[in-house]
Amino acid sequence: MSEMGQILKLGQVNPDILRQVATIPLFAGLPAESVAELLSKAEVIRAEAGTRIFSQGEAATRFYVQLDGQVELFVLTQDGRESVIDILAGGETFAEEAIFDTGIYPVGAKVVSDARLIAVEAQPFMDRLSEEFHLVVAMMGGMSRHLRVLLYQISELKLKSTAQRLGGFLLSLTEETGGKVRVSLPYDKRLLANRLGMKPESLSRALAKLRDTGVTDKDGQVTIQNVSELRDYCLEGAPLDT
Amino acid sequence: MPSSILKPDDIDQIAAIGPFADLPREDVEVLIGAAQPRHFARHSLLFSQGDPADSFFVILEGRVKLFTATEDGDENVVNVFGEGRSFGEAAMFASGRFPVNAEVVEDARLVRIMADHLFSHLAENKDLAFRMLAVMARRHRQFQKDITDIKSKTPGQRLGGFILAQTLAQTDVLSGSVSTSLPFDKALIAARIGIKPESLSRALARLRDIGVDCQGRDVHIEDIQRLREFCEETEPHPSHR
Repeated sequence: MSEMGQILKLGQVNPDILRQVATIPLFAGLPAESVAELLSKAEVIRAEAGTRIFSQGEAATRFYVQLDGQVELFVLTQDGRESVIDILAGGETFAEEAIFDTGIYPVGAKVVSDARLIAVEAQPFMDRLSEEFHLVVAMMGGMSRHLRVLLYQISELKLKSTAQRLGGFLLSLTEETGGKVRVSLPYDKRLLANRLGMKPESLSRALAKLRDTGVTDKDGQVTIQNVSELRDYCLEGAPLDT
Repeated sequence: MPSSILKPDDIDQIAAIGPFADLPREDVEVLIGAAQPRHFARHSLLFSQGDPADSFFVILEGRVKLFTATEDGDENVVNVFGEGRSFGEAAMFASGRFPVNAEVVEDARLVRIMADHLFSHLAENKDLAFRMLAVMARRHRQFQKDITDIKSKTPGQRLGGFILAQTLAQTDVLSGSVSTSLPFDKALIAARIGIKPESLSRALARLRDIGVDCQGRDVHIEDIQRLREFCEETEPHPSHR
């Protein structure tokens, strides 16, 4: 399994690790004792940077819970290069789709910075779930809740980024750097939406969102209560560099 | 409450939602069983907080509000969902009770999928249940990636977005090439859009690749549509090497 990096066996899943696992989407819907039971035979390992955990196309005999470190998922391109599709930063499971579904690892996985992992044997895990089917339903519950939270975050982020784009546009209509100003929209809203690359309904939502920062509009006239406040809003959350 | 027949489009819509995410259509048809869409008038109460979660709903048309009641009887709206969204499934899978009330706010066409039917089918067809877990896991990973991508607009995209907004304010050109000038010098712009001065030249180089050339305060954009698309793109994770 390893190519360059070393793998160190750390022993079985202890209560500390179980507490960490409880918040991972796949297990979040299960009672603590069921998680302990499901992972009772699993092994905690420490894998050094460079360790190849599995390769694309191999039979999927295990899935992994990543506790810390960094793991890279990649596919091989036609000319044999590794193309990274995801970098996992901990607190996640990976390859569980493969054991639930096709039985083949669809991607390869490699450790990029030293990581602690729980290696879970597929067969006993699946047997247990088949015997106690209510656990499968409970898992779906945990996953659904997490999916819902993520979907909410995505729509909030998208709304915020459209509102920021609109805010940036409004700011470009004035020379003022502070205080209250009124600007007229140079186009009607439909055209404005088109030019800012958003749907008309996104523009309405973005305008509504900007109301919280003191931006109001009436008949194509937009009042900005405080130019510097709007500028701060438009810069918020912009990560300082990559 | 009049009902209607489930159309192929409806099934596609149901197949696209969270719990069934991208399962083959035949599977979805089996899982929803005899469920039929129904019209609900505005203000219909679909379930109340504390009711046993024996089903979940998919919205084919219209809007539904989820809310809780505060102690003094006010409504606290938790969420409003529209077409193509589902609600109630998390409580249903947890075999619990609904944590909120659900009320129709715009005349709606909804499908209600009953837990009894769904769970007994899944129990008999465990492969399908595991496939469902697999698609949920896959979707989960995709969503997480989407979030990272949205958050990580590159310096080039932020600078491009700024230039685009300036240009739109100054010209009427919708497509093709356009020349414009920046209101401040580049260092000041970098500070405004939150990129470090040392990243500025990299951002400018990236923009040059897509035909945006900045000389001093003068900007020449070869194709404004291309710039707009560039600013919208979500770029893949940078590799570690």
